[in-house]
Amino acid sequence: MLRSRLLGLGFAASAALALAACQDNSSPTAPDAGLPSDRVQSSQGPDLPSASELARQVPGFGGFFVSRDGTPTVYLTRGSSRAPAERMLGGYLRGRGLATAAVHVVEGRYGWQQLQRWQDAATSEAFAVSGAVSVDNDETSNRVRIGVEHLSAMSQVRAALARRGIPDDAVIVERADPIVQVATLQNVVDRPVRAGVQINFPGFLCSVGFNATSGGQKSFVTASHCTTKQGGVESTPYWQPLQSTAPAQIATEVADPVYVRKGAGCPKGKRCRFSDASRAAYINGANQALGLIARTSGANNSSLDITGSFTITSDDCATTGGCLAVGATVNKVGRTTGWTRGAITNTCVNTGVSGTNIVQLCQTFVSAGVGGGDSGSDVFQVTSGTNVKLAGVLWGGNSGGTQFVFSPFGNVTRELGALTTH
Amino acid sequence: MPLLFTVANTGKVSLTLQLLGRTPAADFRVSDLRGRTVWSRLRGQTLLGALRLFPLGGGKHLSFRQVWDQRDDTGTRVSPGDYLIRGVLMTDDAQGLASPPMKLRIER
Repeated sequence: MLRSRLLGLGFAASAALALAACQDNSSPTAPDAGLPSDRVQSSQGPDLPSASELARQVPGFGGFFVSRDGTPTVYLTRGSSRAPAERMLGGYLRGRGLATAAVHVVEGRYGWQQLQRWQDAATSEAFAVSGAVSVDNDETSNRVRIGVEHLSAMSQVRAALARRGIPDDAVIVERADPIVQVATLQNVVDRPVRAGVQINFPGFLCSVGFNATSGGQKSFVTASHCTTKQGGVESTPYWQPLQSTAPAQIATEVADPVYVRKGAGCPKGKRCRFSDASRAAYINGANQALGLIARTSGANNSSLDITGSFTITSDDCATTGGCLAVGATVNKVGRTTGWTRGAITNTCVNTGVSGTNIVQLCQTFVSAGVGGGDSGSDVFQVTSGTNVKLAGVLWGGNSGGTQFVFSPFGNVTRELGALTTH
Repeated sequence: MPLLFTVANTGKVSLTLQLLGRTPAADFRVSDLRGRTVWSRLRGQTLLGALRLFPLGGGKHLSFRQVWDQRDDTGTRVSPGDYLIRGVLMTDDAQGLASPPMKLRIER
């Protein structure tokens, strides 16, 4: 008998979560906190008083920032004492191992509250001009900094500010690139809804498989386990991309056959189906983008940014197990790992689902990337350009995220009935 | 050999974890000191690909227990020597959320 012992105490992982726990970020899809700009280091911290608090407590305060070399720097107008600033910043500095003497005082021309009032006024004036990008009470320059896209906007903004009585010296107007909101598979409010984008049902995220019409009902297909209960219809509600960002429900589950015991090929003690697929009917049929799959910039490049669409022009055969051979290349687009592509490694595999008593019969394995949330994704073959042949619905993968499993289209229609996909 | 993997929210604010599958799952991975995987609880298994939004309150934790029979992935008893064990919470990230490695010595 082997004898073994653990070297050390316990076996726990909390450190990785401890960092995340410092953020009040309960939204799963909220963006990460912004990185420091190239001009200043981030000075955010629990002990740092807000700029408005500093302005109230420090006479002559005109802004605080940490310079690139790490020096805490404060603007004070001429004749102002540094002592109140040192008092207000003491706790913040001590928390970072710095003495109050480390504070570098720079003479400022304007007080923070005055700049704040000008920022407010400049915001309404500047954004009335086409090409305005940003208006900032810039703590690093003791000025209101305005970004515009082009030169003509620059002069229009300056004229508008002059009319409001804002001194030209108090404002920096500079050229700036427009801020573009990037639509990704995870954040896009996609109307009409294409395959591959994120969907949300209570407590979970998945991907739209493909749009389909059944008996005249405009619908989409996703995984059966992307419903309230895998197998059986519970009228699962769906939102896209999230209930919290687009509160209008887009669809309701209408078809999801139950898993059965003792069916043909089903092992003893197991529950089986030929597909992990369900169908949800759109509440507003106009939201269905029949035949379209969201496309990113390339396969296997990790990008989630949507750059166009694939068009479904044909479907794989209606035979159980499908008509794609081992070695054939297939693709998928899903909300977590985007567009991935790889070769079919196994066909018609009876597949046990980890942690359940479910066996999915006659499934297809693909050597390609997959991640949590990709369930329901469309699987397809590119036939020419952006035209594709629909191959099935992705529902699972291995723990390493290097192999995905999908239910062939023929298995899906065997259980959900005839579907019009394009 | 009983193993316990705990993921704790050591902060005061509730977090929403994005966890792979319908129920939280963890892998246990044993490797030799050269980094070669000897045994993985989830090796060869097919996992559901939904993403569960799992709230974990401040001060709360998730625990996973597993018994390792000191055999490798082929079912062969491993040789005496030093090994590293990690617990990996399955998340939306392919790497998961891994514990620091714990060293284990099998003496005979």
